[in-house]
Amino acid sequence: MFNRFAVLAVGVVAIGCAGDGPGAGSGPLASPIEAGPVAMRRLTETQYRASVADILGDGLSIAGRIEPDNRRSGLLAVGSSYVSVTAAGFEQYESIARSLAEQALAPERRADFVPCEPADGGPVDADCAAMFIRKVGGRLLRRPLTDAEVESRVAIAAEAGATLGDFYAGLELVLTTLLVSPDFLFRIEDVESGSSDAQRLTSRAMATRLSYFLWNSTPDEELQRAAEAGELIDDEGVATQVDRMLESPRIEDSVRAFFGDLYSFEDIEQGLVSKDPTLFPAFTQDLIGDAGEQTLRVIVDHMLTSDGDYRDLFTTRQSFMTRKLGVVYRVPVAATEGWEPFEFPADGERAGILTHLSLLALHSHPGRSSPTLRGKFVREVLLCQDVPPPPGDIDFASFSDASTPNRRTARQRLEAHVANPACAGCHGLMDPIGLALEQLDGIGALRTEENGATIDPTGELDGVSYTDARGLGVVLSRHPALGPCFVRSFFRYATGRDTVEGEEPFLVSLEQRMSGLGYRMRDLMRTIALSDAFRLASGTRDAEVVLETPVPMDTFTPSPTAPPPDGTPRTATATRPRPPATATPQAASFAQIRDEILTPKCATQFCHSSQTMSGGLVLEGAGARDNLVGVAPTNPAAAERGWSRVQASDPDNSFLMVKIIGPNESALGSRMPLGGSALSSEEVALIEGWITAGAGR
Amino acid sequence: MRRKYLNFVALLAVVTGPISCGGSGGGGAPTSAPSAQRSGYVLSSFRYVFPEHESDPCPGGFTLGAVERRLLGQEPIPDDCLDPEANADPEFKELLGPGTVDGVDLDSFSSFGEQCGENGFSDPEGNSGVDYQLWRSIGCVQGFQEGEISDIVVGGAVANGSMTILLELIGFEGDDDQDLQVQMFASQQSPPLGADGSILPFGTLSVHEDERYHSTVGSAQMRDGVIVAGPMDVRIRLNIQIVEGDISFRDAVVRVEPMPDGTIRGAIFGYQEIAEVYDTFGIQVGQAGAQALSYTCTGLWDSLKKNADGGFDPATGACNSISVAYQFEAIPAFVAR
Repeated sequence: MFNRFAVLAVGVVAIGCAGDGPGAGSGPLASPIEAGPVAMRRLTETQYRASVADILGDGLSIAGRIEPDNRRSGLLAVGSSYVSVTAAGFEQYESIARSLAEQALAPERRADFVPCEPADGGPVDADCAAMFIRKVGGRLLRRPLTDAEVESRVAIAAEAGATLGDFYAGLELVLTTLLVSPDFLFRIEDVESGSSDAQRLTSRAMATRLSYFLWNSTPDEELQRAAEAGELIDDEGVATQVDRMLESPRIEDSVRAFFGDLYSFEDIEQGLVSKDPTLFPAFTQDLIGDAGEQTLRVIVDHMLTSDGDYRDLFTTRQSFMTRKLGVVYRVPVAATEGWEPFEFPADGERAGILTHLSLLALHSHPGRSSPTLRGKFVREVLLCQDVPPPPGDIDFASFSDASTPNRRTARQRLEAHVANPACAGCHGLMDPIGLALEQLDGIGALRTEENGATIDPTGELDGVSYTDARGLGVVLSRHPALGPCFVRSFFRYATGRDTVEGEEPFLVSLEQRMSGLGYRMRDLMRTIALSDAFRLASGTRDAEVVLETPVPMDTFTPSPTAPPPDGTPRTATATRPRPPATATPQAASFAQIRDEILTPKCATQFCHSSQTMSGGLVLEGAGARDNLVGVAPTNPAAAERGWSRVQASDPDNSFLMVKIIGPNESALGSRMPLGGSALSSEEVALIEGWITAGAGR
Repeated sequence: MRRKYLNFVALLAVVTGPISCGGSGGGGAPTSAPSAQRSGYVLSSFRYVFPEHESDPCPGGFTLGAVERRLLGQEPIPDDCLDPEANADPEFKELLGPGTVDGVDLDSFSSFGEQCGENGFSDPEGNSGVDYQLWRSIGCVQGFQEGEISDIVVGGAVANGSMTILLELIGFEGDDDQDLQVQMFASQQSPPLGADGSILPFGTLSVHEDERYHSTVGSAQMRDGVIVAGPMDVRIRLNIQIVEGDISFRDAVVRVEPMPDGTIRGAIFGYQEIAEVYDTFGIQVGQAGAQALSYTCTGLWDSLKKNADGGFDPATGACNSISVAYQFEAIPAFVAR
């Protein structure tokens, strides 16, 4: 439910902190009517590194390119359950595993992992090898190994040790096999056996889910003990572990991982943020690295150390500074190395993380700032509102041209740009937000003029005006969608999947509770970790990707969502998501569909009305059907598939169905109605029935 | 003229706030913007002042170093940089005749004892008595000319941390006829560099931990947009490749001209002991350096002694220092103590 908050609707909602009344935080949490699916989630790169460090120790070099993470619904955490391992990716995992095994079992380190020494110093010692495999393998696979698994690996160690004449060389090979095991690379969840639709995760699955949620790493020995003792089935057992974990400083890792994921800071870590060195000579990878760290430090300090309200992140003047950052912020930094606390001046231009270099530089172009990108970030990431991609035929040259006297500032150029009604709708949502940040340039440095013209940073967010970037932060902090969006994003991060419709009552009650508690991090983490929604699962879902590479290890353990052990590729079963099961579609006239669904929900002020014609599509009046049936879509990805907006008798090749259900890839744009509630399953069925019946008039 | 300086000060006050800072380091209280009483700068260029001449000041040509002499088939001149008085270089060329130097008559500032000799330089307004005897000694050496090795190496040194120099204007408000103070510092830190290799403004740089590299505070006045401060003693630390040493200015005069874009340009004039000059260009750079810059150590030392014009030593009856002049440009920076 990424689109819960209607963009247009909030414009008329009074800005305030809903649910802040006394006792609002103590309300009961609703149980989900429908639980989400179990998942098979590949470890993200951060999780892989953290897990290796926890088990094999700090200081091991992980040289190599780990299979890239995949962002889905705005989060890598969600995308992790949609990715597999390619052939090339497996080679990388194997190469890294060999290197890690060699480092971990080097003479100076092996005593940390090998609980025994080979008998007589020989190359083969089955008992010692078995001890090592049970100890390290149990940590890596997050479960005890079966006797068969141990025996097969003891055999590998014996054969390799004998061949190479070195006991530890045999263990290296075994450790390599463990590090490439699907049970290590993937978090494979299981549910308790039973017939209920919503089944409780097993104690072992809960341990893994809790650990990666609260610490972003593998379970520690105590959590594994609790898991094997079955203590994570009941409320008390879970609460004991959750409270223990929340007391640990390691929850900082999870907070950093969540916000780094939400704000796409992996682009910073991977060196993907670049600027024109001629225009922005101060921009370096070191600078943007510090900038990302600054934002995360502020978040950790505010949300954990100070137990602050999430919404205050957008107004706080507390920060941290390095000398590199001080150059661009133009502030003195006493500490010659590292970080020092810093407070932005009360009468300055900056407050809140929106005025940090990290977010400003991330949401700019290489050569200039971008009010549109910055506004889009606020709408989509901070307020959970959808903004569609621009039509493919927009001429951006006119926006980039600052040579015309009345187009010297971004505001002036955007005003000219959005004179086109097709552009005005979406830009009207984004630009007023971003224009408030225009006094902070493409890398976040302060400026008062652009091309010699004074920059006007005033604007409004959903009807509430502000005069500058700091004012935007204040208005944003009071926006009714800000806190709930945070709650929903964090829940999706916690579960590693999109929410499902049946979870809506739970999510609403969660929002209300967190509103009453002031959106504090530990409260939210604890509430989610102890909730039924976190601990229940409904079962498997269809795979969406082709796993081309058979899993190579003979020790692979089948699971509900795993590919078959014989290596047969699991083929895609659906290319786009399907709505929940509904009653058989019923044929309806187009007039009924138009008058009851399309015109009231799609032909709105900024969208598919005859005035604005967003995407060149009008969904009102007598010509609405002719704009749909047999007409090629303007979306290039849809057109490339040979779809029509509506293909008579063929809903599978009708782009309209994709748009109202929700595209599963960004190239297909956003789910419609844009920014509004999704069509009900009955409405979707009505449209599908009309198409199936021939899309008549 | 006055108006633009006021604009410059407004820029500093509003945009950059204070240009110098205190603070306790990483674990201390938050560093917040202090008041704008001190305007800090880091030098972005530092080079000799290059006089202008109406006639060729080196009529006998430039001094020949060992390499040039060999290439020209001339006999080498015996040269021992560690013992420059062991030999003589009768062919070492000195700069002759009058010239125009945008400098000052140090005698009006100096309390440096009886001076030696007379200068033949004049300032652009035609006032005579401008002191710059060092250029008499090195003005006809190829390696010290504008754009040559010395110029390039020193220019790089201010950017790469080999010779970081800081300057503060204390109490500067941008008004003509105001009294203020000037202080200079060496720094052990490298200025921040941009992706294009340029020094970035608004970096924070700490003053040298050794207070010998903090100049005395020079009283100054601003007239017609130009600040003149002094006399003040200034010691700059350099660590350039094989050369590690000081440039010490005795009774220095510092001239600073604030620019509308917030930068400054200026010059420093004063007396430097000839032993210190020779330590750099004789002892430390050695034969290799002398060959690269095209002179002999023995010729240079002899010339320095001959042209020394400050620090009269009654015991020896000679001056032990020589007047020097350097020009510089600087950009805003935060000076941390």
